[in-house]
Amino acid sequence: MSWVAVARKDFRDAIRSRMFWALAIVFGLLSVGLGAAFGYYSDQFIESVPGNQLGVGLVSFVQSPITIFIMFVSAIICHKSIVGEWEQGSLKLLLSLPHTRLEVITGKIVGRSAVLAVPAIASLVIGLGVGGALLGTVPIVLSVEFLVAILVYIVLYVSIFVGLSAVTRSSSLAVAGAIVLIVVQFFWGAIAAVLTIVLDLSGDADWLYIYQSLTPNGAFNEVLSATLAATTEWPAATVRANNVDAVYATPVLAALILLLWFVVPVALGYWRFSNADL
Amino acid sequence: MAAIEISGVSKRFGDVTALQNLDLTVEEGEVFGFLGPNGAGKSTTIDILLDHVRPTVGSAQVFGHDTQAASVPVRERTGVLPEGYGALGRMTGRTHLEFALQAKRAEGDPQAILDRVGIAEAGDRRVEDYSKGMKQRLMLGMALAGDPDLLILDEPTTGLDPNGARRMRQIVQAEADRGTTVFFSSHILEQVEAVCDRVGILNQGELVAVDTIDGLREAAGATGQLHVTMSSIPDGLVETIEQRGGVTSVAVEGTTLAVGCENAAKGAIVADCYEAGTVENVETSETSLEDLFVSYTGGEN
Repeated sequence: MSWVAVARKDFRDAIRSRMFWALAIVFGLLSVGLGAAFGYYSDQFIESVPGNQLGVGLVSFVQSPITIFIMFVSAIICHKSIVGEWEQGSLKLLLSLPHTRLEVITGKIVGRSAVLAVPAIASLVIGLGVGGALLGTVPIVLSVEFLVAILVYIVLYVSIFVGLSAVTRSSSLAVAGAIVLIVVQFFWGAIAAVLTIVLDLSGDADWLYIYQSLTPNGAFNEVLSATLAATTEWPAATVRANNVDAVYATPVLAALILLLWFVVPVALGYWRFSNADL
Repeated sequence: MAAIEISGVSKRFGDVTALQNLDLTVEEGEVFGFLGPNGAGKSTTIDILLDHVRPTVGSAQVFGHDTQAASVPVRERTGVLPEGYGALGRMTGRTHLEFALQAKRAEGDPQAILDRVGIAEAGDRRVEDYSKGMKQRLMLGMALAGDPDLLILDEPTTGLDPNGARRMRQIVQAEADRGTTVFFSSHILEQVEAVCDRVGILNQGELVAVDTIDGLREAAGATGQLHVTMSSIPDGLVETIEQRGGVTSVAVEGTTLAVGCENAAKGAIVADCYEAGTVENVETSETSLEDLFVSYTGGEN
């Protein structure tokens, strides 16, 4: 259980850094700001929220900025997690103790996930609480499921970026990889539009379901919407699969792709790292 | 069972050969000095023992465990002072030691270790604020955590002041007395001479000699050095000394004669000088390990 020790050390290191506290404060301000803004101006937002429901509106209003923020922050705090220690040489010291390389990777993922999860969950609880108090209604089940989803999202990006950090042999490559992954996702829709025109695919747009589920965010959002719609008052129209008439257009496909995003980067990172000379 | 058994190990990094067909056995309880110029392959050898680096050819065992297949059991019994690494993150000295003890699944008092390596007062300070020597002492403390059966020290006196270096030697000696095998790499010869039972000399990835220090001296020709300082060097004295048996070299440095010779010839040489002029000082020394080292490694350093 040596990964626990590695994770604890990683977490302890992080909470001693100024960056952690800066992160916690920004997280807090962002969540509370979003929650309060929605609670305060709900009259103006109500028309644009899914299903015209205040609780749903609150969660969906908070979701998008928070997930984008988490994606950036996890890239910042994880891209050096392995390769940085490798460059510094402290990895040799860590691995001179009886830890395996798998335990080091696992410990890093757990430790850095906790570094993000603690301020994220704490701020979101406060933010949703403030928003709910102003609205006079707190969507308990929806909020709890949303918080669990945020945890999943944090672990998703932390494992992608730790995996990337274990694959690369220089911090700058790890940074480049992280930037590419983030930027490509922002332009994913635009790329699809260009492809449609260039390849003249306008006739049948059903394939877009697969395309839009290929990115970590696309897959995650589809699975989240499907889960929330199945278990809460979350509107079913937000599930993309419901709007596409094709056999493959099912959240199960998105879930499989999401699973690959969890497994493949870490597996590649571990494979590369376990075979590398330090 | 041997503590360390390296058989036919070669390691290439791309086109660079770091180790060439290395065979080496270190017995349990031995203090083994691993000497060589920078870049000779000392650290690569240590990295192979710890599975940081995998040999291209050959294999190594520590206490009978294969270093690749059973790396964790190897590292559970080994304390390591890696070369030139500061610290693990932002923890205090004490938390570093707790972390090492925990990893070794060992009971132990961090304070006792801090005392032992001479940084008792610094235990609650963060390691980023430590001086180089204090970090090195802490790393030694981490190596000692859990009373390992094998202590691997890679250039352990880097960054240490003379007091620190002396404490390092005392600790190595105490560990050896306790029965710990010590594998000690260095390019600083006096330290190796002071603590090691046996010495291996590595040069350009090849082990060029393994023996006791006395054995190496004998093999290298056992010449000593004699320095005689006189008020002035009389004519003909150098020639007289050169013709004596057992003398291998005579050099004049100012008014000092530096004679390379067998120990038995030293008395007669001093007598020659005494008869020929005024002797102000006589110094005699055995072949230094440095001379041995240079003779084995071709003197590039």
